Amino acid sequence: MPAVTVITSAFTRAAELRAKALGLPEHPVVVINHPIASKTGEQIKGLAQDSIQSIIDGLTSTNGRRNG
Amino acid sequence: MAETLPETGQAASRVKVSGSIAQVNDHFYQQGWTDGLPIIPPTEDLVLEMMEAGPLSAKGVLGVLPPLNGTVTVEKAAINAVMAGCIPDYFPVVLAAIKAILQPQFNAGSITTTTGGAAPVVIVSGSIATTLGIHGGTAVFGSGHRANATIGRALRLTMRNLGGATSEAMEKSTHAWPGKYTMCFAENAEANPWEPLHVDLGFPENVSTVTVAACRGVHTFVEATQETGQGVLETMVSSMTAGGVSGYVFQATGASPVVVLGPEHAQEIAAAGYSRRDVKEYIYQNVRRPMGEVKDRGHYGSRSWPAEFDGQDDDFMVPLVTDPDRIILVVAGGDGRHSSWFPAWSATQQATEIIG
Repeated sequence: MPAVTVITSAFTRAAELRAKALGLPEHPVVVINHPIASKTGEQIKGLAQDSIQSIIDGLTSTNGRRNG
Repeated sequence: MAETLPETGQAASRVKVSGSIAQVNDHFYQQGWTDGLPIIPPTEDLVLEMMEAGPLSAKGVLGVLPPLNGTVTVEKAAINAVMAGCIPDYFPVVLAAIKAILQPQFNAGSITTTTGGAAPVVIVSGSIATTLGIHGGTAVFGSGHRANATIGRALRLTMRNLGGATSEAMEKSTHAWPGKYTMCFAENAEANPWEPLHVDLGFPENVSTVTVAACRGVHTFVEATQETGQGVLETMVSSMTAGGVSGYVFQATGASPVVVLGPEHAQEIAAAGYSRRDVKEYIYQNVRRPMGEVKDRGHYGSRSWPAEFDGQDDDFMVPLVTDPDRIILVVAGGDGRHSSWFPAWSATQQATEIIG
């Protein structure tokens, strides 16, 4: 199954290292601004809208598909 | 009991470091292998001696430790135990603690990567605590108790060196707390008016166990005026119902707060007629906050609680846990009118292993 990871900027390095540990160093990661825990539902939808193209790109990229 | 593990572990690499003990420590620190405190250099003879105190062979694999998925061999556990200052007799406890954090529901990976500052609280129950001098008395969470200090530290160094729990890599706590160095203690068997913790958890009386719970810190409360167990329980409730406690929106994950009663408080509560089970039931029934104070605060946006809580009125009383058995109740400490509780981190469940 194609996969992409969405994280906030505080976890950028952690996501890189975790992907490497799982043997997927090229795994696509979409980074959004930290924090999100305090955002409203509407704000989260806005962030999702802003990120959707990057997520689609990740899911359809060679590396995203390779995860399956 | 004989135990077999997959014998597939790779031998740890050998490094040659020359110089004074201070220079060796500098090297280990520069490599990121320590918590900042000095270590005992894990020479081959010391590591061998450590492994010989446990029932398992060097290449035995205890598991893979997230988030960075290092393979925890018995040898690598022994290296971290030597570095932490453990004497070999402690090694079976270290192995049991590592096996406990490797149980999937403990969620060792997320405990490292959360901003919430979770660290394992390691509780030893049973006769081995007395045999090894694992302290459960005066200043139980304090310094000066070698077994407590080094067993907890061995676990943390293992999480650092095999799981990637460093702030340069996967450790993301906003604050964290000193449990990220070490937090290990025993139940005070002499002062405990009830059955031991491990019996409460369903284990036979004649075994010793290690229980781990991922917690966000320690909160101590005093009750020096009330002299009845009921008065102590009421003060405990007010201590555990403060704002900002994440558990009030994460009941569905099944995390366990750890409640540690000082001996004086425990004996008064027992004298008031409460069994161990009754105390947990009392906490479950009374440690609750009004919905109006829980919603739209704390981690409310990412809540994970029973579906029936949604839509409740502001005066609905939200429990900290939805099952009394989620509460880990321990009697430990010395003289005095104080008790403590460790707020649970959110996405974790307790784990227990028998010490082999």
